[in-house]
Amino acid sequence: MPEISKDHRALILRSNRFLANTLNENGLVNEDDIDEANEKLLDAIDAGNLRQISVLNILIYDLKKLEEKDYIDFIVKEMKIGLINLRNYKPRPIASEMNDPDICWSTWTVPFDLVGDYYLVATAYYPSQPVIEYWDSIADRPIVWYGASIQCVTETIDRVIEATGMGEEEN
Amino acid sequence: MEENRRILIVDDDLDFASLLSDVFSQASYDVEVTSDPYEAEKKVLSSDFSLIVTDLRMPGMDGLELSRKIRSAKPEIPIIMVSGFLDSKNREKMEAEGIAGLYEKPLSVFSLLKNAAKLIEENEEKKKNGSQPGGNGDEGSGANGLDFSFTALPCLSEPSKSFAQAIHRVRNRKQNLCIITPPGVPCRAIAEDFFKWFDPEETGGEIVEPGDLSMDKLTELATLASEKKWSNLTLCIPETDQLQPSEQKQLARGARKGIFRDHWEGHIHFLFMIRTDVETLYQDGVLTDELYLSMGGSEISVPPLRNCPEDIEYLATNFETESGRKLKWDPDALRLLTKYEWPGNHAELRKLLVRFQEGDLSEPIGAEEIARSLGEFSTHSQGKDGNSNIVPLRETLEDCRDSYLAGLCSLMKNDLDAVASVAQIPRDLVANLINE
Repeated sequence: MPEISKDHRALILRSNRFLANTLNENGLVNEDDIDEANEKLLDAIDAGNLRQISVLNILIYDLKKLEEKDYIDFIVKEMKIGLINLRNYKPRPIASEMNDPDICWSTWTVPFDLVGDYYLVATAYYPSQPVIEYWDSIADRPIVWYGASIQCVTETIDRVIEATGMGEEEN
Repeated sequence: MEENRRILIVDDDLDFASLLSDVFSQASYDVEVTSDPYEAEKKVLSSDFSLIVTDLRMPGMDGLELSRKIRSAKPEIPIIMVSGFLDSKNREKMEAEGIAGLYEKPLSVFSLLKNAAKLIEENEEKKKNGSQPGGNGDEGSGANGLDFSFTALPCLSEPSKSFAQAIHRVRNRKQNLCIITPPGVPCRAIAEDFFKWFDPEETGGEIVEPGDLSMDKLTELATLASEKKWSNLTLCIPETDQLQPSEQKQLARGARKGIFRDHWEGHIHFLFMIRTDVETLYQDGVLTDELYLSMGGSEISVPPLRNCPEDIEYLATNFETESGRKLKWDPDALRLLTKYEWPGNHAELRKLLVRFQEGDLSEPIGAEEIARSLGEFSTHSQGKDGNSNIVPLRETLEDCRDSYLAGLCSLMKNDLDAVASVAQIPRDLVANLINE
C-alpha cells in the first residue's frame, strides 16, 4: 500500500476532525464515540488504504454509533443541501486536478459534471468546512454542491477513476 | 431552612410534577405546581418565587420560551430545566439562555435538591450583598455585570467580559475545550475559576503542569476521582503546545482509553491551553495527529490586555503596595498605560506595578514616570531578567539575520552582489546591515 503523502494526510485529518466535531456538537454522536472512531481512523491512515479512511464510515458501518439515515436527515435539515443519487448518472470526468482520486478519497467528495459555468460536486462530507473550503480553492469555477451517501460517493469515485484511467498507474 | 422559599414546578407530566412536588415539600420548601406554561408565566409575574423548575417539552410553549419570558421579567430567579433528552446543542442553547441547571430524566433527586438549595442561597446572598465594585471575585460581582464569580480577569472591558461569559456558557459541556492564551495571561487562574463553576460533588478539576504529565500522575488523578466519587474530571493542561510528541500521544491515547478506565468509570475532559489556534499549531507541525484529533471543536480566546483598557486601569488603580495602600495615579499616566501594547499582557503589567511598588516614587505617579518606565521596561525586562515571560523576538530574529549574513559574507569573500543574490535581498540592504 503506498504511503499517504504529507499533504493528503493533513487534508484527511482536517476533514475528519471537523466532521466529527460537527456531529458531536449536533448531538449525533458523543465524545466517547469520537475518541473510538479517531483511534480507528489513525489506524486506517497508518494502513494507508485511502478508501477506508473516513470517520463517518467508521461511525456508521464499523462502530454502528450513527445511523446513516440520521446523518442524511441532518445534512438536509441543518445544512440545507440537496441530495443526489448518482447510481444512474454517468459522471463526466473533469480535466483538472479535481479528478485526482487521492483528493477525492481524502475528502469523500467527487466532481461529476460540468454544466454551463458550474461544477457539479457530490460530497458525503458537507458538514466539514475544510472540505468545502478546499474544493472551492482548487476549482476554477463556482461549485454547485450536492449531499450524497458514503456508498454513492465511493461508487462514483470508482467510476470516475475507471473513466479517466487515473488509478491505473497505481495498479 | 428559612421561610418563604417558594418553588414553582412546571411540567405537563403530572406524575413527574407530583414526584418533584413531594421531594421539595419534604425538604421544607413551599411548592406550587402547574402543567400549563402560560399559567406559570402569570404566576411568576404576580408573585415571588425563589426557584423555577420546568420541563423542556410542553404543549403550547416549551420550557426554553417560558424561561426567556421569566428571565426578561424577573432575571434574578434561577431556573432549572428538566428534560427527557438533552443533546449537546440544546444544552449549549440553554446555557447561553442563562438556565442555571440542566437535568435529564431520570434524575437524581439528591443532586437536584442540592443544586436547588445552592442556587437559592447564591441568589439570596447576591441580593443581600447588592453590587460590589470592581469584579474582584465576589459571587456575581456587580461592577463588571457578570452574574457569576470570575476573578482571573477584571472583566470591565467588553472583550474580557465576553470571554468570561463564553467560557461560563460551556462549563458543563461534555467536550474538550481549547483556550487560546496569549503570553502572560493568567491561564491557571482562569482554569481555577472554571473549576469553581462545577458541582464539587459531581465534577473535579485539576491543573496538570506540562512537566508533571506522566502515567503516574494520570493514575494518581484517576484514583483521586474514584475516591471522590466524581462522575467527571476536567484536566487543564497549560501550554499544551509545549508538550513533546511522545507526551502528546500519551495524553491523547493512553490517558483517555487505558489508564483511567482501569481505575475509574467516570468521564474525563480536557481544557487545553494553547498559544494560538489549533489549525495553525497543526499546520506548523506542533501538534501530533493524535492530539490534533482529540482537541474538540471549541476554541475560545483570552483577549490580549491591550484590548481591555478598563481592565488595565482597574488593575493599576487596585494594585496594593506592601503596606496595603493602593498606588495613586495621575490621569495622564493611566491613559499612557492603556495605550501601551502590553506584549507580555497581565504578567508584564504586574511586573511593572511591582517595580512601582518597590521603588521610591513620588505619588501620584505621573505620565513622565510611566513613559520612562515603559521605555526602560520594554528593553530591559525582555531577556535581561531571567524570570521574564516576554520573548525578545525582534532582537532574536535580527541576531539570526545578522549572523546568517556574516556567514554568507565570509563564504563569499565579501562579494556583496553574491550575498544579495543568495539571500534574495537588495544589495544596499546587505551593505547597510554589514556596515552596522
